[in-house]
Amino acid sequence: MFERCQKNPIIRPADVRPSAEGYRVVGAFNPGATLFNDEVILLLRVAESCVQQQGKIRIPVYRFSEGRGIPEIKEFDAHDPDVLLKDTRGVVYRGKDYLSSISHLRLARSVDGINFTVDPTPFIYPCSPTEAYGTEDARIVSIDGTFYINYTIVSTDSWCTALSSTDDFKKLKQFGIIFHPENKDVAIFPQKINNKYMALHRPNNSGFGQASIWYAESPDLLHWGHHKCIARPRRTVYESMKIGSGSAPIKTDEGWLCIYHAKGDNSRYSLFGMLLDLEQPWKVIKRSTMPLFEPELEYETTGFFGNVVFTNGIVIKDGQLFMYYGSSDETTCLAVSSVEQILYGL
Amino acid sequence: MIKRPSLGHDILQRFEGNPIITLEDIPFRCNTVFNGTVIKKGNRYYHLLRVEGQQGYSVFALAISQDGLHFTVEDQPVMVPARKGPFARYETMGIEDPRITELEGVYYVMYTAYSKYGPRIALAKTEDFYHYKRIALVSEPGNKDGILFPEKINGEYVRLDRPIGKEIGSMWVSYSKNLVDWGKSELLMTPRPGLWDSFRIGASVAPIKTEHGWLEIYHGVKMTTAGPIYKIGTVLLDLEQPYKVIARCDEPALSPREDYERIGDVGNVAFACGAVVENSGEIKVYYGAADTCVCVATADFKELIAMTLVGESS
Amino acid sequence: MPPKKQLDIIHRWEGNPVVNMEDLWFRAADICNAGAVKMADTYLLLITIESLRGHKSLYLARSTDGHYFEVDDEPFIKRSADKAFKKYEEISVMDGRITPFEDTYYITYVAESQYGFRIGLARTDAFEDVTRLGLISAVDTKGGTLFPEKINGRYARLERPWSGGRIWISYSDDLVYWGGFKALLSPRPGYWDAHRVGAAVPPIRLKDGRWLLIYYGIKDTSAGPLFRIGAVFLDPDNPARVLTRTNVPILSPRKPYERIGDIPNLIFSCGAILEGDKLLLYYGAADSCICLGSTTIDKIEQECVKSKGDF
Repeated sequence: MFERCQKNPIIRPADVRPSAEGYRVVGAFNPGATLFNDEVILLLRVAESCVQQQGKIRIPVYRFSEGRGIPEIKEFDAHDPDVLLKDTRGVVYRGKDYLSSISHLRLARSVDGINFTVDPTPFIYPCSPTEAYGTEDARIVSIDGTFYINYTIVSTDSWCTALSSTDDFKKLKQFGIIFHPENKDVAIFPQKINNKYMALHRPNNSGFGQASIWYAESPDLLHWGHHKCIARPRRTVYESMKIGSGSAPIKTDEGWLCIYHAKGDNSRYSLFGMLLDLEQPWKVIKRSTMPLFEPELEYETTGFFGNVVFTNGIVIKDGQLFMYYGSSDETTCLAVSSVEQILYGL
Repeated sequence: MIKRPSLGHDILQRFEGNPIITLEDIPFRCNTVFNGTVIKKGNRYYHLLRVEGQQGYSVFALAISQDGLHFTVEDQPVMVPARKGPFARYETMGIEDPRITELEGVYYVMYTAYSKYGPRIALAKTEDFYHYKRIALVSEPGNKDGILFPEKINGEYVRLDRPIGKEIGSMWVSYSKNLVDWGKSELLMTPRPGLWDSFRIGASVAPIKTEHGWLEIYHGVKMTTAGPIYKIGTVLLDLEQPYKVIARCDEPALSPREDYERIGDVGNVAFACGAVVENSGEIKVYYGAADTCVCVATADFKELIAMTLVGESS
Repeated sequence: MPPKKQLDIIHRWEGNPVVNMEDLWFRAADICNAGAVKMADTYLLLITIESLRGHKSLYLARSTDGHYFEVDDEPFIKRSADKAFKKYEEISVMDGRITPFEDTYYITYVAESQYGFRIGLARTDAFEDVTRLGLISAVDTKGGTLFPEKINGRYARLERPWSGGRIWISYSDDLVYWGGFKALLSPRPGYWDAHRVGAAVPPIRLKDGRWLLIYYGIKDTSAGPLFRIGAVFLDPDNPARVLTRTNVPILSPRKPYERIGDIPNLIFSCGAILEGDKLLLYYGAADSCICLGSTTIDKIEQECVKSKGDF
């Protein structure tokens, strides 16, 4: 159904310049995507760790001052018994958690949708203690000429979702938190219905089964209500841990098409399709029983966190559906299909 | 002292006036009082108490008695967390569970210094029980229940402690030439799977010298679905080689049974911190109950040793 | 022997508990906690009671003196049969908090289902009937309560998202759509409220303009959590700003009825009534009964905010 781009991965960590001296880019993945001025714009999640030195463990941290994040390096002695290494993702030092890598958001531009130029500097950079552990997984949606960008912000309170907007991908307007912890995987619909904005979101269902996809609506994109749970994970090897929505739903004649990710047995991610009612998008009309896309090639099965394919950026370009996706929490890849093919596949 | 048979016939018999010190005996506002260590000097009993303040961290208060049963608590705490100097950053969350040992004519207090870095063992000394001079922090984080032996063994100071390694709480022995630098640590004894002390153990009372060895009163913890149960047990250690267990009790000497031991901030806790052996041959064991009050129980010292001796040996 | 001392600042009513199982005319499993309000001369409690089967509902109780209450036989708010609510209230409706607002009363409650906890909002004018307005949050949140007046033209609410254990504030123009989320109060390591905090009583506007927020603080021990009650004073114009906070709790579990029950060592308040300077705090004890404690604003400030010394 999807055809992988021959040039995959189309963006690798080595293509991205670090945001600070002593930092090292370890991931350029999970991009939000949109079309702007005949270009495909990606908003990459750029994960950075530190250049390591023998006998030391060096961790990226931000100091916050006057609404800006200043990148710094925290250094531990590798033999310090107080340092506990977690999996690839973090370090615990005397009860305090540090991430071995932190993410910010970076723009990349392309005319053909395949060959991208990555901006030399960040576009959305952590700027307050509520973003101390980074900004991640942006979604871009264009509504009435404005591009709204929602993204996950991470702190000791774990994760929640913030909103920004831009008209030109130069200047950014920030609106703060729109879904309190723990909530991410927010996909805003590209148009209003009955004068209300709509979004899919993913609270964590802490203590109550697996995290599910919810629906909410808003008069202004800032205040949200009428929350409803619309899809729960099914008890399959693909969805056994959780599900969450991806990019903005795509309007088709048959309904709103959503490509969502599922985390299954052994933390393996795959992508599924779901069709929502055009007028009452909290109603699920169809949902694929088998994945539309799953990790198969080496760049999808190995990497920073292997066996992960994750999409949060889709554009329709020249009648084709360009699905940008993160592979193994490390690189950005592209797979191409069409709306008709996917609808047929559901 | 009038005794009545204890519930469950524990070998340690509860004083009928228990609890002997409660919140209502403390002249200043606080949350709870528990885990006190006792020294008898002349005809007076000096009782150094752990008092948890309402803010949530602990200080030490002093109570004095003529009979070891009825105590009067001094108006103000006698030792509070250091606010300056090298101890301050390790005592931000309080000082806990003091144990007094008389050694070479000096009263030493080993206590737990508590901070976000975890518990550390600290050492202080006093002459009058009102004033305390801090000597050193004598362990790294993750260690507590430090207790000094009352005399040097083979020319070295000796202590018991309880490091948490791999989540197993066992009792260890360490040595020092100067009371500040400690080492040569050795494992003394571990929790016993299936028994009442299966989850965690730790030293409770300064070791008491007897002809059969050092008698150590320790606490043993069993974990249940409703939380932990803390009981009091005994063990005899070799006089010359204190890392060797001569005999360890099979059964606890006292288990939480009375309401004041079962109900409180941390229920089902009987946690000894001090004991006095009287000339009459009676031992008074002072223990905190349910992290909420202080109690005393007594036994014939010989009987307590005899009960320990029938237990398993190393 | 020296005299026994009682230095806690709360005075527990000698007749405690105010409501226990023997006050109910029906069989039940548990009495958990209560919202409280004074309407004209009537003291009203909205009590969370768990049925023997295991579902919780909210019952009204009335009193003329604030001490002796008659509990209704039928719940005032029970799990909804209405399609819009049913799915999210299938286990319980509980922790009702009453906010007097102009001529009406808003009730926030916790809706529990297999999806998790959500905040529900209802309205009543005279506690004769009640209208559900909606479930105003997604899941993963509890301890929701509404301010009794608009803040800079907007409704404001407090809640306790699952993650982080903090109290958050958010705002709304219409009670339906909520935004502007901001963390307001955090747990304090080493303190009695070291692990989680949450709004207990709906914020009360004091005579001097400041907001009084009575909250619960939790410290986890090896034997389970200890629930206590504290307070913060919030800025008159911007309640997202904390002016002062009690260093020590106003109320801690001490009495047998607070220590023994389905959830031991639990004090959990959802309602208080301010009469002049006197605060009547109704609180659930050990998830087994409702009690009454009284103190004054002045005492809270003098003894708990400005607590001297090291302890």
